[in-house]
Amino acid sequence: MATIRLAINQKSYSVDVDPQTSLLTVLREYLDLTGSKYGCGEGQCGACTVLIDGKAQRSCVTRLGSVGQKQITTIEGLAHGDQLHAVQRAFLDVGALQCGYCTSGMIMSAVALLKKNPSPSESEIVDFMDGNICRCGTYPRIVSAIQNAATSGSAGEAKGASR
Amino acid sequence: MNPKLGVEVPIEPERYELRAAAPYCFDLDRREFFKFLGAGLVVVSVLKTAAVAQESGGNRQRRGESLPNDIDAWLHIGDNGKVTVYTGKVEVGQNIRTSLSQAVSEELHVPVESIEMVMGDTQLTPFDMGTFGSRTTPTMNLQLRKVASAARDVLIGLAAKQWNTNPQELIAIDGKVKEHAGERSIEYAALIKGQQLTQALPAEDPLIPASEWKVAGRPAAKVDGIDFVTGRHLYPSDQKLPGMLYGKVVRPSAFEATLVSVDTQKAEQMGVTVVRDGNFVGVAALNSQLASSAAAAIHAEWKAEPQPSNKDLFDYLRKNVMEGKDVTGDGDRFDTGSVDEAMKSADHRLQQTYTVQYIAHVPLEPRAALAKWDGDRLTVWTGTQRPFGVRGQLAEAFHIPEENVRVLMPDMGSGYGGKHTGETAIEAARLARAAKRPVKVVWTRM
Ligand code: FES
Ligand code: FES
Repeated sequence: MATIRLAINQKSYSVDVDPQTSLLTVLREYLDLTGSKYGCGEGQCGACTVLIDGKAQRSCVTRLGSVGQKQITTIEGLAHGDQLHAVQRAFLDVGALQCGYCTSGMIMSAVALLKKNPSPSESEIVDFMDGNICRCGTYPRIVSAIQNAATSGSAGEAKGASR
Repeated sequence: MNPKLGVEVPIEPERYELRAAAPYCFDLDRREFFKFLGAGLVVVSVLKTAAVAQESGGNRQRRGESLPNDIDAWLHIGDNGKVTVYTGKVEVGQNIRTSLSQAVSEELHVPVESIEMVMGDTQLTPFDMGTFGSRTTPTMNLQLRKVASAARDVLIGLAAKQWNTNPQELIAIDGKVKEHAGERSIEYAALIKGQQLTQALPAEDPLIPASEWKVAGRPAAKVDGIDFVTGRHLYPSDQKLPGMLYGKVVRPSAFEATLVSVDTQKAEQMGVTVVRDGNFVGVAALNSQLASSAAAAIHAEWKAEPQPSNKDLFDYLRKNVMEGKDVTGDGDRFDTGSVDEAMKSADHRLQQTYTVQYIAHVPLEPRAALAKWDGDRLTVWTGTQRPFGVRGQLAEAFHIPEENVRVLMPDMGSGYGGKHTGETAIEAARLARAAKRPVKVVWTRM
């Protein structure tokens, strides 16, 4: 057991937990941030994707001890109040979700992609999103949602009113 | 009707998963419950067609989705104008929460946003055999349109009475009844004020034809989509209760293996609840890591019959045909025509054998359940396509009446036909009973 400090969604948290515990477990069980999902626990599906210093990471295979003071962003931290992030907005507009269980991971990965590459081609999107699995098969709409978010110009910004 | 066969071939659910289903008839006496809802208008859809009435409980399953011969859905309009629709169907990503709301909106003439769908809660919703076989749209969607249409007619009738005019002169629009030609208009809420009205579906009530639909059957945003893109929606595996423990089940070494011996001593020293009951071995702990390490510290010996490998599976199945045995127990065997005759009279004959591997459904959200006991009453939140079936299984597993069991189904991370049975619910409930605290079990992939 150790007390570990974490910076999540611009807030600081401290948890008493074995540093070997996965970040996903800590988010879900200790901090009630259940927006990040458990799909496989093995880094294979992307449902648990969060941003660590802006990079998409699988939180299920990220040991807490390795995170340090890096900035963690989860799906809960993406919108500013009622202002959805452009990628969230685009997923809603395009209807890029069925059961939605993959959605938070998809959105986090897409945010990381657009940060790196603000106007990705279709094949760049497909390549980057390859590790995120949607068992409902919403891939074509996910690709269009990311394209929408990219053309909406300010993908890194929160934008649009919620509904 | 399948024209080729000349017999009715229902769309089949995964029948092998329905074996445990105990047909259950919904208790029609809902008066008490309607009272509890307070003032408002309730419209129930009571199905008692000759065909359904003739069927025995067993045959109900055979039809894939024959509806029970009693209430199958109902709708309540409160005197605050709030519309609540109750259906035993569940939302697993097929977006029926949205499409059924649209159906109600279309006939009732209220905005989709003013409708709340209560789904798959065995205490609040009418019995439903399950959500499978793509049957919601052909069956429940139609029922709800009928219910909504009947509700609208009642409202128009109320207005006509109040204004002493002919219902034909009135129309419903946007949550109000209005005069076609005249000026008067009144909100649904005002029409219902202070009254408690119950209405069954009339035998004949023409519905708005699909060609005239403005809301139903059209593209629409997921009604609660915002909760999904912000991570707020709580799936079955996200549920949590105060004092809740995390459960972990020790899995057998092979399919249908039996437990020979088990050493739980180490686990017991780890401050967790350990349960051994027949072939069930599991633990409940303060957090999931502790549950996992305690489960790993349990040494279990299993006795398993040798199992066929994937390679040998088809030979094995061929050699082990259960001749004449009706595994589903639902009498679902029928013969029609003759393959031999058809082959003889065919112009071209093609004989080929195709085999398809056993395929797992793998919904992205694994099986999950949270169980809580209050005395001998059990409440379980679980991801299932058959909340009522799971209720029956829980009642059976714990030897308690079904009335003591409530199953709730939060919109889940899909199922694809793979979440019909109640194993996870039973596991969580067994651990919760021993731990005397709520327990959540979420299956892992390992
Ligand atoms: S849960 Fe982390 S990648 Fe699947
Ligand atoms: S929407 Fe169901 S897994 Fe992607």
